[in-house]
Amino acid sequence: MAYGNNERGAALLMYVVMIAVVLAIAGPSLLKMMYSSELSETSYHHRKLADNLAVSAMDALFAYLGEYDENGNVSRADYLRNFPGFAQNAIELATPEGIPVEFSMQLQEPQGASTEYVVTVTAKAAEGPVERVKTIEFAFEPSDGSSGEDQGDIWITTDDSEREEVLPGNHSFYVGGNYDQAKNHIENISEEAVKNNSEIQNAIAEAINTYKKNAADLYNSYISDIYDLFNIPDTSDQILNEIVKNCDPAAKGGQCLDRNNWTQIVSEIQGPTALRLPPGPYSGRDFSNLTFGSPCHPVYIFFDSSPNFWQSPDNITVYGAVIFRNGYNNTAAMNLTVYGDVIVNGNYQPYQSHSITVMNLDGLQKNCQDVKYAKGGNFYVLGQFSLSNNINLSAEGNFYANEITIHSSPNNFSVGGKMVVENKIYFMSQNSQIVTGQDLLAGSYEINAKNNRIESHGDILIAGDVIVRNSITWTAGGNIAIGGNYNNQNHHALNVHFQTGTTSLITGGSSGGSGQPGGSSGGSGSGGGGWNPERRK
Amino acid sequence: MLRDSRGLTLMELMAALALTGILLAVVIMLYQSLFHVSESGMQRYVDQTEIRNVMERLEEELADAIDAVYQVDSHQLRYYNGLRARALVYDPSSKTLNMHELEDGNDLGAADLISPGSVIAGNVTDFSAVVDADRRTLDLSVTFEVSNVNVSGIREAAAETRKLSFKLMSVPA
Repeated sequence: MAYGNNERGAALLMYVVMIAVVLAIAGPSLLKMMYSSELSETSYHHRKLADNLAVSAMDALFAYLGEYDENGNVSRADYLRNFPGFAQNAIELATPEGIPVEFSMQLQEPQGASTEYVVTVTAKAAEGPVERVKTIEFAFEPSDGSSGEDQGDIWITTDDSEREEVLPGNHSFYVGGNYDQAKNHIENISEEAVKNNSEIQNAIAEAINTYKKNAADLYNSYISDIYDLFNIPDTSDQILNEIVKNCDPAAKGGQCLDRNNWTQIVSEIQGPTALRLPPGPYSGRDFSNLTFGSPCHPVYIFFDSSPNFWQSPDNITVYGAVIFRNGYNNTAAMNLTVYGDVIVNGNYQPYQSHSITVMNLDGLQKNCQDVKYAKGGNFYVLGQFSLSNNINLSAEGNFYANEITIHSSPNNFSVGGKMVVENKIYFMSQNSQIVTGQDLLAGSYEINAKNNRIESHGDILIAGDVIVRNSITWTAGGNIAIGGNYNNQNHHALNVHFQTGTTSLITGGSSGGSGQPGGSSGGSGSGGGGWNPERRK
Repeated sequence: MLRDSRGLTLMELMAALALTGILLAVVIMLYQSLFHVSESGMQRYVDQTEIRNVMERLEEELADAIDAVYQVDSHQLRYYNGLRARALVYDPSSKTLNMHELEDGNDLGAADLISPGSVIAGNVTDFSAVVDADRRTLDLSVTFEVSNVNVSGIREAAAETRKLSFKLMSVPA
């Protein structure tokens, strides 16, 4: 019996060990499956909670704005401010299930020269790893309609189909602020030809805001449509491995890649491809005479931070786009041609000679199949553009910058479309010129040095003040407008010439277009009353 | 000791072997059934995870839409949320649901699709949407093809329909 008992005990132990082994193997997997599933369900529930809360709050505001009485005595701006749902501080709540919810709905008053009211709704559900946040932001430009009293309506159309040809002798020079011809020396313009119009400043500012949004939209589309879509690897090794993933080592003499040989690397790129390049340092000697992509196989180059070229890269051609996600600040010279777009998200500060040509790729892609990513010939700097040396910039499409400061010379800007500078164009040095195929728009304009020239085949439109401390020549194909004061401090002449061209400055009527869904270049007008909402986030 | 031991007869041996065989067969069948049940559970988990991911993506895309159009003939749901215009395009031949950006344009219904799109769901056997312009609602229905494995190990296709409803935001002019 004693033996029998021992034997049963050994067998029982064996069963226990076997069950324990099975549980040890299967248990974590089962628990992980259940936990992942539970986590996902919980996150989804929280996402819906946050989404619904944010959307409902914004919809409540829209419903409130829809009730505005145009015949009442409350302006749209005041009516918007009076919305009872705004809460500057976050409100903390809890659902019946005990999920903590945080909600805020804030109104930001117009900043600076802007006329935008920005409403931001943020809803957060839960905390920790299952936390979900939804933010919706709309900008409103409440317009109560133009008075149209003495001056009539005036606005800047951003729709090219609405541009009007200006016949010789019909060019206009508007000033919105103070101007005294006796002291201010505008050559070739009689005092009678200068028209005072207090609406011009807002009209120009609105147009600038539209173009600013277009530039931001284009950058965001590159990020959402390409940068995020391609799921670009984030280390240099991964990038290079990705580039040569289709490379056959046997066909390359046993080695696919010499990471210092950019000619070889570029030749292996399979397009369309997005490259997220590390900051370097790059030897300009190695990083020269390169052609990235082709019209049918565009390559989109993203620099997450400003690249470090310790020698000047020369003769680089890119079919696709070059996106600097956090500005550009480098002392190396550069010779770059891009068939597509160049966008700098941040400040652009080249300290050496730069020759940048940005061309439209669309025409080159007509025989390509399903390649429509590339946009057209635009150079956008979403921050400040600070020039410290010889810059030759040619953009076949449009140009946008938050601000331009020219510290030294000479510099040449040649823009096929519109050149838009949200804030100031500041010429601190001489011998620079700007030539645009369409309008030049800027927040303000200041010049210290001589021999500078602006030639626009469209309008020259300055929303704010113009300060002239040296002689300058402006040539416009359309009209010229200064929204603020014209201030000539040293009695130098502003030489004004007109040539044949078109204008975006429309007078009379009140049928400004509205923004278009899905579009980024909707016309805007200042004629009719409305809320003019625009989604930002 | 050996003299006391009695050997097994042929009948006893055959009966023992038969019993062992029957027991083994039962154990193997039980094991296979359990395996198929486990496989079925795993397949269901994978299918449900994929379906949940797709529905979460749709929820995220459409939660804050302000305009939507469903084109029955081309199985396209076009929507706009103030930031971007996109289309969900169902391809019955490949049973995929694809997402495309839309070219800029005034008319959401007439804007061109930008190719290539990205596949956001496979094994979709039906996709439809109802946009109520008056009530400003969007009701979405997606039917997925899922696999069930029975205890015999045979895979059977089944349909699973998920629905989502949204309120379109009414942005004032």
